Amino acid sequence: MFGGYQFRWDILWAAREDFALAALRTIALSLVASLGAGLLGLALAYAARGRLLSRVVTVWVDLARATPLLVLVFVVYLVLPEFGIARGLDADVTFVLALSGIAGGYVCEDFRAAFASLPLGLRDAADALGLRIWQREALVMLPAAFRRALPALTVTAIGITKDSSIASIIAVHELTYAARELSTNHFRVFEGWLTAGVLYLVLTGSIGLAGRALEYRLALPAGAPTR
Amino acid sequence: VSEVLATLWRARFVLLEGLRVTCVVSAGGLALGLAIGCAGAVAAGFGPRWLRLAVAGWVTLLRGVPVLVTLFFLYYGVAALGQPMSAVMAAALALAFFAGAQLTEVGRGALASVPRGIAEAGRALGMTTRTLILAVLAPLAIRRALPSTANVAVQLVKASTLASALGAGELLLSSQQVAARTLLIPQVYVLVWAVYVAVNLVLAGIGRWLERRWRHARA
Repeated sequence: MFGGYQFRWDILWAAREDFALAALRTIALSLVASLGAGLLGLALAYAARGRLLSRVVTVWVDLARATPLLVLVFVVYLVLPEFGIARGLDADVTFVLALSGIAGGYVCEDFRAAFASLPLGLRDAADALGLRIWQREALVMLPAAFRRALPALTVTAIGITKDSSIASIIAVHELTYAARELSTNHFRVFEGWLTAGVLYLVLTGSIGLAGRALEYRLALPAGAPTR
Repeated sequence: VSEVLATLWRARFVLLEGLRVTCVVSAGGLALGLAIGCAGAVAAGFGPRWLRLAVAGWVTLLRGVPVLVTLFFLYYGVAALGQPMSAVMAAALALAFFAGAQLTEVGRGALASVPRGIAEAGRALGMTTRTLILAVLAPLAIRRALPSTANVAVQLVKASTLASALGAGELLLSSQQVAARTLLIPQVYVLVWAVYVAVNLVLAGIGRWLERRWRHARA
């Protein structure tokens, strides 16, 4: 399969610190972008209830689905400063902003579908208990919606982690960047990419497992009145 | 303003050539991906156990790793084996592998959504597995799978921008060149953003149309 290619794992071993730091950078980027996307998506999902704001949300979601991340990265990097916004940002910050902006659209849809699937009586029941609006949303609606949105949110989080690889193109030293450096500077092609591939699989696989575990933990006992 | 438009107009051939490469990469990736996806879906649905496991592993691998990593792995890996490949070729292949994995899942789900009784009826008529799939199951499953295929096409157009990192002259790279040459940086990037959004909205619209058109056909 690798006919004639001499593996030199010692060169990868010598670069292990770089790789470990790069993997941490990937995890950090993914975590921050997931957090940003989560907050933005939730805000958009609530904004979608307003009559006028719902138009804005629809446009945002459609744009998020149709925009290549790399193009948005350049727009945030090069276009926004022309209008006096986001001037002089680091590559990391630029990237996280762009990724959160796009993934936020997906999270919004995840939450909107979950809210829409809640039984109508749940809200009435919360109102009937005399809860204030914020109590109703924070203590009743949101937890119930989160439980239903969880499988979709897990998929979105996996997508965010994979998309974080695109940061390498604007020279953020994350995992893909480290593997590319190894293959262009040291010509150690397979060592670097196999390692990066395995690490990505471990990352995305762990997110999937964690999501599944959380779903299991949050699942209502069989026969509970509100699914 | 008219000066800006005139400058952009002079760059139209560079940008159109970029759009052409974007279309070639995306369409090539989709065509090959469809072939892989059909084969994978049939193998996952009707193959022997070892083949089903192999397909599942292949799909997990390609869906768990970023497309950019697949792309770099192909480009640098094939070159390291002594036969360099053009960036456009590597991009089309990487997109095809990704689309193949996505479409295998789509096709598997579509085949599984055909009611069991239909396959049993075909068997009762004495159809071979081959006839059953080609004449009965595939026509039903394809209707189910087409809307998701449009989604995959959108993903491919978006992922085709990654080829710019290897110097493939697709739309994003050619607009970077135009932006650098004309110094109309914000204008060019907003224009190229609009082009990508327009292309993808059309593809997504086709998907929605297909979904509406064949909703009644859902078994």
